Amino acid sequence: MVGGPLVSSLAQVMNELVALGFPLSEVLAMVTKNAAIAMGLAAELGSLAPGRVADVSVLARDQGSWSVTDSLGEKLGLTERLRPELCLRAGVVHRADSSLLAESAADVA
Amino acid sequence: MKGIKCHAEVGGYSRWGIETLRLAKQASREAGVPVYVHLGRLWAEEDGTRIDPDTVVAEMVPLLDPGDIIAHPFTKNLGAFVSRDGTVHPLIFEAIARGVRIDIGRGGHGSFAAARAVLEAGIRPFTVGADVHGYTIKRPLDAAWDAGYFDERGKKGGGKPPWWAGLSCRASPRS
Repeated sequence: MVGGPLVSSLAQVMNELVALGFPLSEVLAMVTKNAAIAMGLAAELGSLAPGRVADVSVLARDQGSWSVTDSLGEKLGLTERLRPELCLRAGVVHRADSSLLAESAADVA
Repeated sequence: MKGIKCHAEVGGYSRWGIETLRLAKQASREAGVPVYVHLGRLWAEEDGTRIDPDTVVAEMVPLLDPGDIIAHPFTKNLGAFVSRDGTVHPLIFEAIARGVRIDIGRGGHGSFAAARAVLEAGIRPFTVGADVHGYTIKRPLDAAWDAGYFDERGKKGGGKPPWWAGLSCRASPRS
């Protein structure tokens, strides 16, 4: 279980949306292409294609049993979760090793 | 600089009306960037005032342009997407029809019940702001830190008014 009033990562909120019934493809668009459009940066960011910026987040898709909790204490179950593995920023690999993430990664990242 | 953040919630509204958003919109139009508008009670109303939270939404929507962003559709707090009667505020649909975008802005107040009400009304948020901030993470000295925070009624710790309550807000002359 993770959540309540605590939010440690974007992946945690993505997992909440999956638990609410959002298709994964829609969630992924919301954190990539749509975010770039909202910021007026869609010509450079938000999708992978020749000529685009190759800053990429890599998430694991784990199978198992987890739950997410909202700020009122309601829990929703999950049979898979997204978990941050690493990101590529300007050609350099950064492992997802934030202590904030470690607090919740044992449950739902 | 990609946008301008502004609150539209009962605490600020009780002090300054919708003027803060007017000023934010003036700046955003001049700079050519969107405003990002926080919805949902954050602070208590000024002493002696009582604001209908649905009024704030009604006054906000006409000020927005296509590409502006409204946040916290899934908040448990009033004055956002879900009206006092439990249904989605009708002007939210007007905002969407005008090209206003929705960011989830999960933060410390996300509610699955509010999310269901919004989703069942056919609304799809556009982006996923996690809204991770100093009050959504585990932290040392929680009690001391939280003394500066607000409670469920929008009251700051100890019931004191927030530090900015005495500030004034005035529009600059427009050319």
